[in-house]
Amino acid sequence: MSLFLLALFTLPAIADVSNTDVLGDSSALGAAELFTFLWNLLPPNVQTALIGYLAIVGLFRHAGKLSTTVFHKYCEATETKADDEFLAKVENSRALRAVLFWIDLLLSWKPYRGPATPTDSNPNTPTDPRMVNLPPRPEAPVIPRAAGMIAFFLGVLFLAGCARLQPGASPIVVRTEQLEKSAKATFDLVLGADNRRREFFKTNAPAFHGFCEWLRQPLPVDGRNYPRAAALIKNVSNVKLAFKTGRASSNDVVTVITTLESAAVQATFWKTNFLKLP
Amino acid sequence: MTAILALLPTLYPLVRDGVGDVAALIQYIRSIRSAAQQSAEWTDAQEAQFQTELEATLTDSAYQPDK
Repeated sequence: MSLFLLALFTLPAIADVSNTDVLGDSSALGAAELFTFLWNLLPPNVQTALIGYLAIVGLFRHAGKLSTTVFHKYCEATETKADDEFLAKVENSRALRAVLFWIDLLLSWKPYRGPATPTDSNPNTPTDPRMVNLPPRPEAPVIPRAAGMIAFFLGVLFLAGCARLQPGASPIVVRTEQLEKSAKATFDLVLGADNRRREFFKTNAPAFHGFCEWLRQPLPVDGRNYPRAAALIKNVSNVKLAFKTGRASSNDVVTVITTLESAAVQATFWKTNFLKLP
Repeated sequence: MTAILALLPTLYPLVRDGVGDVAALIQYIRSIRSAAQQSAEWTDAQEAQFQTELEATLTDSAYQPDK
């Protein structure tokens, strides 16, 4: 944990992840770059909160177990047995188990709870006399813990949902720009995946590769031969700019959007299916 | 141990490609989230940046057809 925190604090300079060149040649992307890349995806306030969270986890693991162990030994060392019984009663209460489950889940801390109870597989385990007549402890809920961690990371990724339009913003323009950006992201993902294993997909998934080749065919826009994927977006962008200046109607925007949308939908279909290909 | 060493040449490209795929997927999610959060029209600077990204496809190897 300490090493991990040290690594967090000594991260190299932050790379500009908005630069698509970072992902252009992904084969050069190593584990260290991936870690930096993932870390940079988090907003600065989330980074600060995460470092604080990990620091608390580390402190709890180091200090928490030590302090509870000392407290245990102190109670055992005293002559009176009343405190031992009270401690056993508290530690074996369901409420405390529930609390400890969440502390373990969130802070990764298992406080000291006395010697382990004997089991069938290991009957020679040292036994705490207070624990002999207690029912065996249930197994730690592994799946909820894993699910909790996955939910946490997904929550960080998808924390923000759709935003409302600001007053004065044209819904047609904003939705068109959202479509342009999401279509570009989808084409980047699909074409990038095909590009990394062109020969493989050409042989094993010719339909997918054929669709990617269709997206790559050059089309003239503004006097330059753009790949079809970019040309479709460029067309939408041009009509959108014309609409903003009053040189095109909303019907023109909808017409040109339809073409881009159908290509993007097909790319989305392949995006969700290319991982299942043989 | 020998078997593990023999597997390394096979595993390395898988890991390398897997890292690229995961990074691309995260970049995709990030872009979609950014698009979903958009609440106002693009500024001139944002429009220019997007146009630059489109022009970059002219030289991007992923956008070039088979030779």
